[in-house]
Amino acid sequence: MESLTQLRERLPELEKLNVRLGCIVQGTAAEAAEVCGQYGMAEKCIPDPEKESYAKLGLDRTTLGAMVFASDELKARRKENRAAGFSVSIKKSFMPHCDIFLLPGAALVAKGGKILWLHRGAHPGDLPPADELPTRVRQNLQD
Amino acid sequence: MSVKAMANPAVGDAVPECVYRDGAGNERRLSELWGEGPALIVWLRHFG
Repeated sequence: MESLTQLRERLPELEKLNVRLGCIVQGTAAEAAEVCGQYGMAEKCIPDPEKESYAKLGLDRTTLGAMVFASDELKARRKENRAAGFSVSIKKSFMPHCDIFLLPGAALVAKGGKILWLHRGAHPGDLPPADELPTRVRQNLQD
Repeated sequence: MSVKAMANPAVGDAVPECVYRDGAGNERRLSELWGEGPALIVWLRHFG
């Protein structure tokens, strides 16, 4: 998972900002515990095997071409992930509840549920870099 | 403040609620994340 390693590194900053992090993943609770636990992120991962929240947020699906010809952002995430000791796993990619074409997203939500900032991925690597997230959080909480 | 959840929400709308089962089999709500303060939610790609 290209993003969990980077998100884990940002946890101290987010906690200082009193912002809770939730990582929604495409699997059951058992699968999330197993896979996210390898990254030390089991407690932050929320299982969504039916991809219900992905659909409700309006996240799109990508194409095989975009998967094969990875974007520079996705390549950078994979590189960082390898440096942290993890690599892309074809076996995990095709776990029973995973949809490899489903795109990522992110949202900052105020207490009570109002969306303050929203990002819907346009391609497989299209999540804001994790090291930019604390800054985006600060900016949007101040507005 | 109460905000109404809707499909394909935008900034200013409510983030959609979802119910899920945690590792102990308990029913949980996504809204627990933002019940006491702001939350950053990331929808990740597949497990690979």
